[in-house]
Amino acid sequence: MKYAPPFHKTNGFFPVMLVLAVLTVLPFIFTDTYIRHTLILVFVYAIIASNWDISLGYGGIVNFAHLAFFAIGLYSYGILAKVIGVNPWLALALAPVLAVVFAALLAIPILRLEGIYVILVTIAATQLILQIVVSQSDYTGGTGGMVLLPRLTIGGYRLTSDGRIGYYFLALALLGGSTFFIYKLERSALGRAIKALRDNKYYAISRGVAEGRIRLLTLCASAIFPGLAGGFYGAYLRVASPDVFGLGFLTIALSILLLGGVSTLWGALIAAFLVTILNQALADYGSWRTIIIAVAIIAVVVIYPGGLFAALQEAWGASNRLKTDLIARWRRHRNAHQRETAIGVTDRLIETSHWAVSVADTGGDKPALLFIHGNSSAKEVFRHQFTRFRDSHRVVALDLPGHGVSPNAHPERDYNVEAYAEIVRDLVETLGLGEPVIFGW
Amino acid sequence: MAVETLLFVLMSGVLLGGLYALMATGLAVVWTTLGVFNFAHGTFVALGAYIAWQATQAMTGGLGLILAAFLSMIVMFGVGFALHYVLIKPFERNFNLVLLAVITTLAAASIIENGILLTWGPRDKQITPPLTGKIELMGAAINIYDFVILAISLVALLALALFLSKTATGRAMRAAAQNREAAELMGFDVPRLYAMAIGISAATAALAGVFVGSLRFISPTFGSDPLMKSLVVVILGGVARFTSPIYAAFIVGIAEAFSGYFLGLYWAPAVLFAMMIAVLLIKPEGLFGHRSKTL
Repeated sequence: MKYAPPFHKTNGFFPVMLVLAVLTVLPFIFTDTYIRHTLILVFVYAIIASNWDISLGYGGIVNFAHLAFFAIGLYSYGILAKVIGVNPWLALALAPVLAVVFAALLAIPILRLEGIYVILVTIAATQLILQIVVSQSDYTGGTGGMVLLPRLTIGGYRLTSDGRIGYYFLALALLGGSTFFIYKLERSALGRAIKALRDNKYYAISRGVAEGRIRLLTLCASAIFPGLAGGFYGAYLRVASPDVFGLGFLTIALSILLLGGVSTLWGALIAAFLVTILNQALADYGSWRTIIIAVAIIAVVVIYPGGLFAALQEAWGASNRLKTDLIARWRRHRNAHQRETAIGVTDRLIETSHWAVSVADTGGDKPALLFIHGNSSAKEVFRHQFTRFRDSHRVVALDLPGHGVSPNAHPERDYNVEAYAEIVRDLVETLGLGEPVIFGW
Repeated sequence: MAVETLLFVLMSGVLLGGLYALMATGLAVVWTTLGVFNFAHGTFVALGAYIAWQATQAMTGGLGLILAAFLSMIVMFGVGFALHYVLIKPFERNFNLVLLAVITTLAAASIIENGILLTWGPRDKQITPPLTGKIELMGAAINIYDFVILAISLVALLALALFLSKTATGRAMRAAAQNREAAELMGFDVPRLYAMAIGISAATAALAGVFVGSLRFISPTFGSDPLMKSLVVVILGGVARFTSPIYAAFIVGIAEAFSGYFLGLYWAPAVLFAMMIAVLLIKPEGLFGHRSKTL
């Protein structure tokens, strides 16, 4: 899987700060409660989807009980805060604990299973939890769910006051914490072990990665923030209903993950915005909403299996190539005179089987000398040879693709020694150099 | 506890088992052939039932139930056949096939379910059962129609088994399931065989849908329960042989009937899922399976 962190020049710090600043200011620009509500839902979905990536993307464990972590967080909050009467904040803090306990229990049956069996067991485990929730209606409200869950307050201040501003910032803080957690986890020793098990299980085990323990830790780590988000969701909407176990909820979360691109933290966050906003925007269309979203999911998965993030990376790469191409073109015209005085001839573009390259050729019917420059260099490095040999020889030098004033070529096809050799062969044929003396430096 | 009550519960369990066998076999055919799990199978059951219901209505032909069931099976075969090219074929070489197939079949399930809702509305419908008589069996009164359903289900499964083992196409399908590359080298059109496997699975789902629809009410979402039950059946039995999900289906049906009777309706599904997880812990390849590296 091709993966490079975005914005690697800045190590992601400044863009993240910028996004955080925008999200902090946003509720003051859009004071409308509905927009804030949509954003809160975006944050919750983003937490669910990006944490799912820990098991599904980085760990390669196809855990379909991920939404059960969320549901357990939700119901723990509901039962603790309403039925038992614990302080809501304490209930919120205990929600992820229970989700992690469930994740650890879930890890036991799937430690030794592979592929599709993991999917089936985790789906069955989710259904088991759903059946328990539905059957224990004294505590969970059964199929009707629980309503009027206690709300969160800080010293008498309700988080719903002032257009839900309190919940907005709590959700933002949870998302920030979750993102920071995943970012750090992925770069830690544990994160590397998780990815090693996914990429080459037997090699990882032979290097001392304990498969069972790492799988257990992967599942537990992926349960923390969804559990917390579940508790938050309960405190925010004040409702806990068995809908969260349904296939509809699962489809939305999974589509966010796949749309964004698996194993890409930022992809899931961006896709959470798109999918949730699309979901809310189509709210008036009833059944058509689900159909449109499902068609969109199939279209994205079929046409672009890498997800939005891969598309973004490709677009970013394409824009970089375009940029350097424009710079090279500009330099070809702008500094043509300078280069001419340096090497004595005007260079020109010659088409080869690997894109066009810029070539300087003194011409004439003399023994040919072909100069090939080294990495990160250009043909002008041979300017002294041009002055010295041009009377006795036909001196030719080229800029390799992407060097000097040659245009860019394809990174994988054209930037290698075989391609360079083919370019030189093409040049010898096109220019009619016969059997030139080749000089490389 | 009266003997006739026990017998009645047993019979309803066996009947359930027959229906589950039909649905789970359809699921298992796709699983063993393509190596993917079809989450749209439940909605195939629902769509099949709706098509048959529509065909029996006076407005659109007023066909008899038998003709309607055949029509529904043919239509669903076409639907399943076509869906393979949309949902699974585009990334059959992708290393993430299992996961991508899960999301596309889930999405397809959501499209079909909402399509049904838009076409036929949310109100429950019922296919009128063609037979209403009862027979006495050791003191328990049992519907004749239930026996007919059980018999037809078993005949359909037998026909499917014969198709897979005796006909050239069926053998080609099994060959494609066992070794795709070798089957391709022998000149089989593997994508078409795969599409046929999904088509056959959809046709059995339609038959099951007709039966369920004539026993209970049909609603746009009524496919999700059969899907989960088939899942339990397939895991319990494993897919090592054609018959393994069928045995498991009867075990599940009887277990469900008895736990429903003795423990109450709410606990019956939990018992099934707990049973399934227990089997997975002890024997992940299924009760009747043997360990194999590939599916």
